[in-house]
Amino acid sequence: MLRIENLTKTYGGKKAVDHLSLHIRPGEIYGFIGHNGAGKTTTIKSCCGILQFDEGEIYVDGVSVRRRPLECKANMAYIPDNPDLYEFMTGIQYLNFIADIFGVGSQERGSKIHRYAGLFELTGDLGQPVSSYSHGMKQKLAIISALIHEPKLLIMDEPFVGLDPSASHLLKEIMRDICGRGGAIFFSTHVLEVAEKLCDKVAIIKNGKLIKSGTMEEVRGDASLEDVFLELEEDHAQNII
Amino acid sequence: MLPWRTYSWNWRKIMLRTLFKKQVWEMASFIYQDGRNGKRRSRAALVLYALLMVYIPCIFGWLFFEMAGSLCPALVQMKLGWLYFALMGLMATALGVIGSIFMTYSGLYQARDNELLLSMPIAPWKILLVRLSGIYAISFIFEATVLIPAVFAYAGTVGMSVLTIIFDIAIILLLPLFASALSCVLGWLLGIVAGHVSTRVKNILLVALSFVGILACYYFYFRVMESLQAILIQAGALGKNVKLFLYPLYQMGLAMQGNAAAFGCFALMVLAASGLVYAVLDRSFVKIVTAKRGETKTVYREKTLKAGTKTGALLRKEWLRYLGSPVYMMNCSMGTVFFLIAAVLVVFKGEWIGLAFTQFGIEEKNAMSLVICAAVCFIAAMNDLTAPSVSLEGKNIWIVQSLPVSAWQVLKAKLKLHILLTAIPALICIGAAEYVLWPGFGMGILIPAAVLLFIIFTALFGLAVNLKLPNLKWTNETAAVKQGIGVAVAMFGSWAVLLALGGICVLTVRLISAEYFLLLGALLLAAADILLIRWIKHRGTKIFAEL
Repeated sequence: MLRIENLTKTYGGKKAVDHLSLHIRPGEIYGFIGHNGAGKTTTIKSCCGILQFDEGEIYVDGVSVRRRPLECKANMAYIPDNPDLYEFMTGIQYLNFIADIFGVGSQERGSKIHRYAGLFELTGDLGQPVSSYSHGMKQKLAIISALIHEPKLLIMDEPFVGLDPSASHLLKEIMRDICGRGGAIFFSTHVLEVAEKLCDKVAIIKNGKLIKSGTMEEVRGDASLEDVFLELEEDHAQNII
Repeated sequence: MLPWRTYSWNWRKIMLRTLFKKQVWEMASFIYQDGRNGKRRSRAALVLYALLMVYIPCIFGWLFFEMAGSLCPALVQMKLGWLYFALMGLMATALGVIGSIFMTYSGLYQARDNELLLSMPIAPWKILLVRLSGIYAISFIFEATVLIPAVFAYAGTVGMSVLTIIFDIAIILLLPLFASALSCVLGWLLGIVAGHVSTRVKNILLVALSFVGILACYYFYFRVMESLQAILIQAGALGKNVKLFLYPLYQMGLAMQGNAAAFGCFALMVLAASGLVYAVLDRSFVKIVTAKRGETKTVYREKTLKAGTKTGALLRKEWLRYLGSPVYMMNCSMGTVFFLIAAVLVVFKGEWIGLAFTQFGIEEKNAMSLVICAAVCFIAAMNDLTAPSVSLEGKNIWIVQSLPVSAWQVLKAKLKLHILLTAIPALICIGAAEYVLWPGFGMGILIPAAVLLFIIFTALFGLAVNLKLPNLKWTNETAAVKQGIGVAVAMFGSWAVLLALGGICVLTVRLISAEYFLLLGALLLAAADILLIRWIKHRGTKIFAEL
């Protein structure tokens, strides 16, 4: 579903992502772990076509993000780490805007909004301007807007930040549901317990370089993901020295 | 247990200095910082920006100098020098309030970092003081644009003693205190009203109020210029009214002529008024900035949602952004309001146009048509909706960048909003003018065609300028709209093009007829439009995608 090949992105001479390769297959929940500034957001934004990258190639369902970005974007959804949404719109206006852009029909959007806004307990607030929303409400709205066109691939940057426990639980269920229907999910997180419980596969990145990836069992072995992560970080630091 | 942190007196002084620095950085960031990457600009760009920042107030200062130059000698001769200063002071205060009220509303009461600063070990009065200093600075710039030329005109007429110079400088520094206090009160009142209406109604209300203020200023300016004779005849009565109803201005007028007692009185009144406002604000600042205002709670009830096209959705997004931002409405669509007012005036007071043409010795119909066309284009250039439109995406730019829409589709929506909001009222205005003074079939078609091409040019030019000079890192949208250099470049650039076309007209007046000149102008504009469209489609879209 998502294939990243030798992705390299440089900011003013510094490599934020260095020849990174990953493959996320349909039905997989793929976790992306790394310290702050490791290059997770850069990788994610490159996959979504927001950032232009220097080297490598990214394919969504076999289609190149570099060459046919609109086709790729039509089949995926992105939720950023900070839900900066249009504050001059009401919640419903924002969802309608997104549905129009993805060409979602009138009835379909109605039922999707009814379902997801109901699940996230946001229905009553959809008439309010986004500017009046709390961080968690904005995050919920961003999630609903990402689900409105049934994306094949959902890419999320720290999606659980700001969500209350029940919304977090709901999002995890939705993620499993998408994958159960043949979709794929690629998301970054700092919450290793969540990654451990939720992900089929995981990749650990440090200073833009992939240091380990594979199924959860392959990566962690008998230890916890947290132990593995800390150990890898340390090893990598020693190798550099 | 960790030791309890205490703060020394010296640290508190440093903190206040740091806050002031932050305020200055925030206000001047558009000059020294590249909005695209937040990096410092090159020295050459810095010099260019600084020159432009000096150039704009100088242009307005020159306008006020012209006005002061006509008013001062006559009033001084009538021994009403104080009335001259009082009238200029009134103008300066009105401008200062209009210029700073938006900053008061968005920068004082609704600044994004208010809560962050309140969470730090900073006394609220310090935050308030620093924010007020920003409002004072803006008021000062506006007031000085009027008062400094007024003082120069007075000095040129009467001459000045050292004492008068000292008093005048002190008043130029004092008056913005009063204007910013007034601006704070009005901003606070707007906040209260805003708490009882929806955001959209609040925005429209804000814009309507500001337009009334600006129109009052324009009206005052042109009335003074036009009815100078009448003012001079009735100067005595006018002076009595000013003394009766605007007593502080009377004292200010006397003080600016070197009257020490009047200066003391005026300074006391200004300091008392601004001190009172500061004291009230100080007591309620935290409550005001942390209260949720402007949001009447409406519970959403599900209804059938209409599906639309991508193009329609993008245009609606631009429209909602426009309606959602009083600063944007106010600063970038002045032309729309002027067009509508002009259309009404032309229909109901059509004889004025004829009289004005006669006064300037323009009697030939084609020449009149050219002047009308130029006037409409001049007003059209006051609409610069595309000029901050890219900057206004701000932190939301990821949305359009991650959606399946091309950069060109996004930019086209911005162009469409500009063209719709300018072309429709412009065509209404032209229709009204042609109804009153029918220029003949050829000109009747050529005028709207040329104006439309000019409007398209201003939209494209504004967008191109903003793509080259974007500012996406703002904390309140006033920085993107008002403090962005792109808006000024777009407006003055469009006027420069209009001036160049006027120059061509003067040069070719004996060679070609007015119809052919208008056709030539339209062709030149069409060529410029095509070039700009090509640039935006090829280079501009790449810039947008990389922002």
